Amino acid sequence: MGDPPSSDLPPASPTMEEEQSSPEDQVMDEEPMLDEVDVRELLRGALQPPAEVPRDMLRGVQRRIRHRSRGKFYADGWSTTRSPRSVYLTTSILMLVLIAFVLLVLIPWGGGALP
Amino acid sequence: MVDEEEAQFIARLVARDESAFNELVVLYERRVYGLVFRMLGRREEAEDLSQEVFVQVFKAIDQFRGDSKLSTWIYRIAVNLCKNRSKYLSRRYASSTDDLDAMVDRAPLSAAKGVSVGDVSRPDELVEGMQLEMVVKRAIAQVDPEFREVLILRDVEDLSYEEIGAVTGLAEGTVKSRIHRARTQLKALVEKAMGEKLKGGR
Repeated sequence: MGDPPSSDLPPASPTMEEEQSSPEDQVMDEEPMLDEVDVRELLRGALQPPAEVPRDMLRGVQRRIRHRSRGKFYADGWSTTRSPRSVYLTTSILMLVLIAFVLLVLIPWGGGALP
Repeated sequence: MVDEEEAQFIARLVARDESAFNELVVLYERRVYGLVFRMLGRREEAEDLSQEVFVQVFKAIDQFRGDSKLSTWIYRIAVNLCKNRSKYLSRRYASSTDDLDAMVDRAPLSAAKGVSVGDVSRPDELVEGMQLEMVVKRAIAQVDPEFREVLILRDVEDLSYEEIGAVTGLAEGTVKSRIHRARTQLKALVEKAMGEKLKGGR
């Protein structure tokens, strides 16, 4: 590595006029086309990103937005969960179970003392 | 360009619905991270910049006019941020060969992960494949950034010429021309590197 790109390469950055004035066909005639499928396979093989996306991507995004909006967005725990719907559901079920428990267990004894 | 379902989703995003935005991040994080990683070649930078892409999407979503697909618009933001970051990095690391070498040297480990010599009928083919992968990585890093960008969008991300035009703001003819030039450059660099390898191997 470290070698500068060789000078026999095509011009690295053509000017705008060059790009506009030279039709695509002219460019294509410069050299025989490299097999598109080969290039694609080579590139896909070589440029594979890491298999897993960083786990805290969403949290990182939320943290940045919260910070830059000075707490206007993503300020509470509800909005920062990955799936708030499931959190709402779980909380609702837990609350229902708790209420049912209170009704079944505490009210019969408590109710006896009432006039 | 935008179907009804996407339009509703965008309306939620414009209203700054946080749960809609969570969905957006989950939906696009893999694609955005993959693209940014391929453009920058550095894991930490890719992670940081991918988050920045979504922050920019959140900030600018009300400027999305629906002329293109939402994914194309997000890609456009990602590509623009990558360009800026690349310029910054090239200034910061005037000699980036060490980073590039580090990136390339990681390849054999990932490629060989979970693969033992016994798993392949021709271990020499595996080694050749890994060497070719390294050569291509080095070569793509040497291709001019303007050409590399369109080549990755076309050959790795599978975008159409029209979509690449929308992402980069280039005319379709220019996109095709740049892709061709990128392939030509890549071919020359790969052939040169392979030639040197063969000479060195003798």
